[in-house]
Amino acid sequence: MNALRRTLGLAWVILGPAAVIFLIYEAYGKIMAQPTQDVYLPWIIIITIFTPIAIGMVIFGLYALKGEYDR
Amino acid sequence: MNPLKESFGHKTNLKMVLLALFGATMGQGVVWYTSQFYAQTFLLKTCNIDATQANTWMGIGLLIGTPFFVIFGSLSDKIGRKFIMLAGMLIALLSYRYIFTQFYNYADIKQKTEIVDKTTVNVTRAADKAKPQDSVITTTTNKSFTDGSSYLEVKKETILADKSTTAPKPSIKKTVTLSDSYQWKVIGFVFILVIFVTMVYGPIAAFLVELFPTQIRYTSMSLPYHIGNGVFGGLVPFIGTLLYEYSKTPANPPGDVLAGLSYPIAIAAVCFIIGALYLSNKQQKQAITD
Repeated sequence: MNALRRTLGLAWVILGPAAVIFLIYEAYGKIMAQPTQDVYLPWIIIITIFTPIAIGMVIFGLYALKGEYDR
Repeated sequence: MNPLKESFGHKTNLKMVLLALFGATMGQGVVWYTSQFYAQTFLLKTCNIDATQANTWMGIGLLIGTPFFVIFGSLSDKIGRKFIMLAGMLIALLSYRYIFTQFYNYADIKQKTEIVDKTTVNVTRAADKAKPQDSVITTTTNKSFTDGSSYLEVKKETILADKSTTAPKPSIKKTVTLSDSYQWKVIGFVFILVIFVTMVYGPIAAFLVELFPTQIRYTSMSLPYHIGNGVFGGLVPFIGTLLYEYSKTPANPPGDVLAGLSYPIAIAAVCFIIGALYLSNKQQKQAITD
């Protein structure tokens, strides 16, 4: 079980930046298609809020990877 | 002693803060907001159910389900917090699509048999109150269905006196009033949604309290609790509506009415995996203190 916990740590490390990249990619496509305040404002809010959380996810993943959550 | 430094500056405590966020409160937040607030938004905005009817039925479902906060809290004292919270999360993410599909089907007039003889259409034309030179054509359509439900559509179209400018898009307000035969079906599903909330929410306060030692307790639990509820949960109606709007394409103009559920389901699924793997039922009160 500890091996799985550590292995999945890598998944959490990747998930953080992957989520932010996905959000930026989606935002870019939507804003370019319709560059109005209705479109860009929600995306700016979402990316601003979720970026620090994604960093937290990376830290969590690193802890898991190092076996900090082993039992 | 600085609780901020102690909560977030020491690895032993920070790792528990992150675990509480990603393994418990993140999923709890989305389940709570989806089951209560997004469900209400869905009934009112997506299903177009009459506001009084939808809110009354939501209220009854909430009232019946509320005692279960205490029941699941009490049960978690006996069998552990983790099991109940994760069970609530898992059942919720597996059943959301089914429950919301049922809500939509109940209110979908395309699935009902119309009593054509009772259909009425009224067209009135009046001067625009804001700009008297323009006129507003109001088309009111009333439909009745064999199951006792009714449908009201009010379409307002502005005709501009100045033909050189583009007229605004007509506004259409749709209201479905369901027959009483749907009352207990809707209340029943709202009750089930509230049960999910009580399962994830009932034990959460005790779970967070037990996770941290007294000297840094509120500082440490405050961050995961408020990010879980305020950010992950609070954004459910906003992101849900956004996803629904984005699902509307030229190929599929009505969009996918369940698209908004993707966000809470994905967050609850990640939280469930993290919670199941990394959370312990044992109390953890070890904290690093200088």
